[in-house]
Amino acid sequence: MGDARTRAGRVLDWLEVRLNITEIFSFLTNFGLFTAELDTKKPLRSALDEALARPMPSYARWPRVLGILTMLLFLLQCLTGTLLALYYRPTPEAAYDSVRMIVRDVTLGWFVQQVHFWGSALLIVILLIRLLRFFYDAIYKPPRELLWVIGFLLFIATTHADFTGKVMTFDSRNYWSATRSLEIFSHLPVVGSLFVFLAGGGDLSEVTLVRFYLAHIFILPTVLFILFYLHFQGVRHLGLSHREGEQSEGGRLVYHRYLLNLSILLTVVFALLVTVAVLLPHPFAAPPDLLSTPAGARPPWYLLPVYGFFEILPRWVPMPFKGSIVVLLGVGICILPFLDRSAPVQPSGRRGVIILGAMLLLIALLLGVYGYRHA
Amino acid sequence: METEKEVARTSRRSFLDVLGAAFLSLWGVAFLGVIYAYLGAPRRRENESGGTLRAGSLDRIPIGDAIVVQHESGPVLVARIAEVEVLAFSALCTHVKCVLRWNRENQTIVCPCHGGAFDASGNVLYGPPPRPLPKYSAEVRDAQIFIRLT
Amino acid sequence: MRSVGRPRIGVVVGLLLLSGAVHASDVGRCGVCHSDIRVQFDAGIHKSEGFACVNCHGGNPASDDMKIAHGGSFKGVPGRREIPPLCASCHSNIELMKPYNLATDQYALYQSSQHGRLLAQGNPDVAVCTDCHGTHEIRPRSDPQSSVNITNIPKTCGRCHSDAKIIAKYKLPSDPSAEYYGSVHAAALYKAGNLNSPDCSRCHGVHGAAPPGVGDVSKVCGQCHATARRYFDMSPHKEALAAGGNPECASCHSNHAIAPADDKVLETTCHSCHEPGSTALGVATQIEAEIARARVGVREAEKLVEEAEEVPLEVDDYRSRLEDARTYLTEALPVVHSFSVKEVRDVTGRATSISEEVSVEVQEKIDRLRWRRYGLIIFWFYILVTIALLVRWRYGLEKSAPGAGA
Repeated sequence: MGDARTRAGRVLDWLEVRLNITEIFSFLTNFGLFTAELDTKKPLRSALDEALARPMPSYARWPRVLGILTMLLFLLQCLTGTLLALYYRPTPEAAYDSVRMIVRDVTLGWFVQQVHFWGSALLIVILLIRLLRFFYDAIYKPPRELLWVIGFLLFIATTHADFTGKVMTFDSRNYWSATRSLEIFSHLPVVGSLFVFLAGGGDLSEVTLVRFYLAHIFILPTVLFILFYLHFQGVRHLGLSHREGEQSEGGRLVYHRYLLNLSILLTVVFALLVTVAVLLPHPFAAPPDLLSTPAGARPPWYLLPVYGFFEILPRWVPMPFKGSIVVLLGVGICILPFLDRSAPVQPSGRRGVIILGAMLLLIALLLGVYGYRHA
Repeated sequence: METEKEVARTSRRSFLDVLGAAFLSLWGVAFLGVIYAYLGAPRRRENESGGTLRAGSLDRIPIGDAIVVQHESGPVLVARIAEVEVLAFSALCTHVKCVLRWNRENQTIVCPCHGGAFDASGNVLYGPPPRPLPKYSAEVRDAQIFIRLT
Repeated sequence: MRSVGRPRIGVVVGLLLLSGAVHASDVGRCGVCHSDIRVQFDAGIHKSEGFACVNCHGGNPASDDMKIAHGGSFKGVPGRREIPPLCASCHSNIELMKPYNLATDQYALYQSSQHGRLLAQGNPDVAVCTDCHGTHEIRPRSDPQSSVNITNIPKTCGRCHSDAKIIAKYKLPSDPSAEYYGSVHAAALYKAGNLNSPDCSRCHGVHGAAPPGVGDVSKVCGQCHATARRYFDMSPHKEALAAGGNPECASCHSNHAIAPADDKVLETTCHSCHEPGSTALGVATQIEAEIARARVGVREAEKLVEEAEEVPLEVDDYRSRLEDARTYLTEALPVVHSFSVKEVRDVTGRATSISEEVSVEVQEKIDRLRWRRYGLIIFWFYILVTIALLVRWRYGLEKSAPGAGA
């Protein structure tokens, strides 16, 4: 093994003469695996030694993995998505057949498709959990305001990626689910109408499908990639968040332990993802019938609170008013760091804000259940 | 002695490490295997490609006889009326979709359910069918029968 | 038969007038006073063929002086008994009808019909040509607005045959038109748009309209239901019904209100003749069971195929094989008329065996999906070993540098 290590070292030396490996590595650190500053003028190994010699308190604890987890899930989505794109045909006539071919005729196609489907749901859930954790630990106080905004935008962009991806299967359930979601969108002033405009109108024509396809495989991944870059860049610049009074410890060992912990967590998450994909396959329905809406065609789950909100208010409340409330709330969450300007304190000192957030979350959950029942 | 034990332990550990690494590398193998299996494009079903159905060789059908070929859009009746002339029809009766049969004696297509009959052009001769049979263009190339279903 | 002379004169007059009218397609000045009738006439087929008022009514069309116009050969409104010979004066003329490719035997058929016979006996109630075809606004049968278009025939016949007064007077079966509208034939004609579905005239004849005789019912129905008739002719019912003087098909299916052929017919109608507990009812029950078994089998196979398609699995072949099973099932319904369990089982048995085969094979295909779960077990074994390895490495890491672990 020692022999192999030196051989790898020799390759690295050979490359080091020809490329600035440290700079390449330091670019990769923008995606969360390594969050310390590197001196790009030094060779990689000494730069790493130097960085690891500094104390890295944040690696000592568990929750720091959520960021890297979302990034890795995003990469998994890119991979499975690329595989799916090999067979997918983005026209209304061919879309259904091509998806059916993937899940029916291609070897393990069903597996790739299910992992892509559940991976997307998991990604949204983890981004959401991460936002909640940011909120609870007040990781939006100066100078970390932008981390919150970017985290929120990541969540929004990922739901869009999930939504456009669902439409692309073009089976009856997703077709109708998307039609109803577009209806919800059209009631949201400014942002919603802009989305519907960009989607090419309220009904799902071939124009919409091609635009969704392009958004799904190119525009949204690019946006997500940029957001991830900005986010991890900010994290690297500011250092990982840590609560006040946390122990300062560091060194190579802490980092190694962190990597092993991360690997264990990744293994568990991957195992759960595969298990869910095999045991709870998302069913593939019949081709869309424009005249009948099948039972169970609901908006995607992340839209259900909005749907429930629209439904639970009496009919005489004008739609634009309901829509405005939702949009204002969304904008409010997005610019939370600029609204809550109290000094950064421990969670115990921000009880009022946390209770308010918890109530909002509970209301959203209840509205979601209501929307699910009434969809 | 102490050092020897130490050495033995280290070598045992490094052996286990190698074993572990080999085991973990199986993940990579499985991963590449899945992708490789996925990349193999599925073969189309043998008898169809696009809108064309291959009904097999001409020798399967004696002159004046017909066979029913299965296709995902429904059965197709293929009749050989002359040495190299074949006709193809949807084999589902236009009345209540019974599978039709070929009547060898008078070269008609008959329905076993309600006695409906079509001539060799698909026109209704007799009985309850409300519409003529959809006819497909059929061709013989190299003694193989091709039917265009669109 | 007393009025034989008059139609002959009518024919001659008609021919003479027509020869003039064909050249001068002018319908004359009758419309100056009879404008409403003129409008009706213009909508009909006779107008476009150069026919004119004078051809039926006589008189002088060139004048609008009523005395001159209604003078001479003027006949006024033809009497009901004069109408058939009047129409026949042209329509039975082979030479005249040749260009239109129209049959010329309608008058002969009419005279043989119940209508014609009663008219000859002096009954004024029966239908003459104009009652069905209209008087002035006569449209061809192919015109959907025509009273004799296939879709309008039940209504046209019903004008008399569903008239309560006429029904009472002649003790006719109550309202055949209304019964027809509820029948499977009307559903096929109006809902499915199947123009091959019978209207009144298909069974009763057109110009020779008469109720089919008791013995003729199966011939009339058998024109379309040939298979059912073939099996019926083999059955013990044929002689039994004939001996009792009962109509063959209508005894079970009724005449006008023919219901769709489903299992209910077996259930309800058999009891009207056969005693409960008789062997005949036993046969009926057995036949019913055979068909029900085949139907359940096909339905189960269909359900399995649908289930497999939802996964989705490739089951196109099974779909087309089920098409065969469904055909045998439909084929079994006419075979019921043989009232032989063996004959029915011959057909339903094939449907059952196909659907059973399909069910078994599709089920196998669905069961093969459990390999995915077996794969999952192996996968979890790998996962657990991997986690164990990682945990061991972390343990080694902490041991090699005591004090660093948290």
